[in-house]
Amino acid sequence: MQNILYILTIVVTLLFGACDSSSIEGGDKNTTSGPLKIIGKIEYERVHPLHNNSTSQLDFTNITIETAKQITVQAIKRSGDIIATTTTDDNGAYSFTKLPENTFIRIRAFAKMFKKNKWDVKVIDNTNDEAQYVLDGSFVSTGTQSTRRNLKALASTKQSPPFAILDSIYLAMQKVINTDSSIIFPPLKMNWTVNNTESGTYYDGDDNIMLQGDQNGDSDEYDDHIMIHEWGHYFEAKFSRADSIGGGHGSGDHLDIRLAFGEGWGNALSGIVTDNPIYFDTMSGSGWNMNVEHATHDTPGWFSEASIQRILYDLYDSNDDGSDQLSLGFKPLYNVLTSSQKTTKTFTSLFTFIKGLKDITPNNAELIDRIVTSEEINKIVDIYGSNRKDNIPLYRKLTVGTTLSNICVDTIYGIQNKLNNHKYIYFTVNDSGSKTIRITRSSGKINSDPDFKLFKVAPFKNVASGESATKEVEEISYNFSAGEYLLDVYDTSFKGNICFSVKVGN
Amino acid sequence: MKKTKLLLAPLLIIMGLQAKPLEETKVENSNIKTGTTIGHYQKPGAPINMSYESTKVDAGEVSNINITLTTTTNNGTMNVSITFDDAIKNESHTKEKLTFKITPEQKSFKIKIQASSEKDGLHYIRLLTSVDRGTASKLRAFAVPLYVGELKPKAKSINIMKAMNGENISVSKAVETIEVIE
Repeated sequence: MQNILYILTIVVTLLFGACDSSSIEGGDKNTTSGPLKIIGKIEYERVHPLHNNSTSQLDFTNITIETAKQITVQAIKRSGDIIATTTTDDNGAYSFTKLPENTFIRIRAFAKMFKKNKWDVKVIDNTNDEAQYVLDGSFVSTGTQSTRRNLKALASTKQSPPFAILDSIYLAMQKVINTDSSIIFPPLKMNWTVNNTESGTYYDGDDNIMLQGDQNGDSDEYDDHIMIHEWGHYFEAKFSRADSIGGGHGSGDHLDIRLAFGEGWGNALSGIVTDNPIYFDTMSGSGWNMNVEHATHDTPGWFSEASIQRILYDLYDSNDDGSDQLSLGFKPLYNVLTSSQKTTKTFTSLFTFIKGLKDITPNNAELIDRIVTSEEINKIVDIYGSNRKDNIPLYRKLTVGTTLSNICVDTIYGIQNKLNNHKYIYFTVNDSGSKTIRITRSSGKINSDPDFKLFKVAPFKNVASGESATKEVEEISYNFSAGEYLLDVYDTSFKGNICFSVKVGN
Repeated sequence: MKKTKLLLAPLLIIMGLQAKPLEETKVENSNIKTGTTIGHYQKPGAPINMSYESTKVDAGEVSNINITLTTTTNNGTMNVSITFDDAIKNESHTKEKLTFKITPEQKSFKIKIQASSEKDGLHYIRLLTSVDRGTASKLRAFAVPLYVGELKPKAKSINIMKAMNGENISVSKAVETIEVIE
């Protein structure tokens, strides 16, 4: 019996040892035994930006050699069989041992970082069946001596972008890991190709970040702040909560509070991860940049992504200046994002974040207030945005069965995702069952198109929507369970100042 | 100790080159191509969206390209800088620098371009836009396609292949140095 078990073990080992790994999942694997080793380094060329006042372009005379960190590397025979798999260290170094003599082997470096129960990030060509980028050495015989084989990806031939992209993401992940070593990052695909001429750069809300690669226009492969900004949205989606409604936005805008926070967070994170407050977007012939810490206070306020990025960066950085006499580092910000911000009963905003921060670090409340008030924002006292200068409630409380009047939207600051395009209502349902939600125009421009989204607060989820094209009224029936709810009321006619009455219940 | 350093000249394959096609893929039939950034997520930049209609034409024929730029802001000046791929002829002599005044009533601006090319293929008209409100303005870039002639089936680059495990990979050759070590 023991002999049978012994034989079975050998057979299984040989079977698995000879198998091509069906997934390139890193970790050291070696299917051969021999006296030789191959060691080396994987590097790539990084093109740096040239900033000229507020413009930024890639400077191809300023290229540094960087190491490809934590990427998967394989030793492959001419037959295609993978002999061994390993991962580079933070110096880009890899090592294969026990390799056979006189065997033609190539070294293949993947634009992929994989560490079990830690991260899984790869750079793919989204225009060619999601092809994984790899960098190949040549088939060279191992001979009878160990060798060092170094591989380098060039910028001039567009080999280095996938590795530059990974490096930016690795920097962001390390910032978080240094704060919380137990974190596990869900899989993420970075979609980049020179064919991404019209794609835009964005996080898709799931497991993809799309990156522009138009070499004659806008390409983002070396714009680390942009990648980290988008990664910041991925982080919010996976570890925190982002209620942002998205859409176009600019630093002088009066934005919906959810969008303002989300974009301010992304901008601030890019400066926090790199410890460089200059956010830049290079473009052929032009490009632009901004200082996330010191930009001119253009329309400051709780609705301003620029104010929020300055506040977040000042809370983090070690550079005390003016109203900023606080250097919290990243950990408290991370703690708020992954706890109270994730479960807050109102929409994620500067109010929910600062309230959460002051709750966990009450001894710093006064210094936090000082940073906030430097942006012409009154001291933040709750998640509802009370205590604001204009004193107009952001959130109105509704009692089920009664009508809430004068829920007024306007387009003073623009449309779709600007301040006052959306109004927020909160209410509690004590008795479950079907109830009607009805929004009716009560004054203002005619031919309005009121719509709404209904959110259950715990766990936070969009549970229903009323988005018909019916003019002047929107109504649905919804089967409520007991609990707390939020309504986001808006008008898609964008005609200007319009007021509605809102009722929940029959 | 003898060290032998080998410097291998790399076979450099420039990413994205259309080489000999490995397989046929679908060719689009419609003559009017459209696209929009409205409703899509956007990275930070100028608060501008772009929509277009671009008529597919044969080599030498004039294509009508209608571009609409919209902003969600209420005021300022929208600046647009237009560049054409070398293969494109600006038949309508559209100015390469345009400005539009944004008001609460006027947030959408149309640009009509007529263009042609003697060269079959996919060419681009690029727009670099900004909204100026008296402070440092961000930019946003767009690219509008011009489809000319026989559009070759979208070919896989010669550096797309399958690994032994069936995974699609996009291969480029490294600059490699090899030396014997102790």
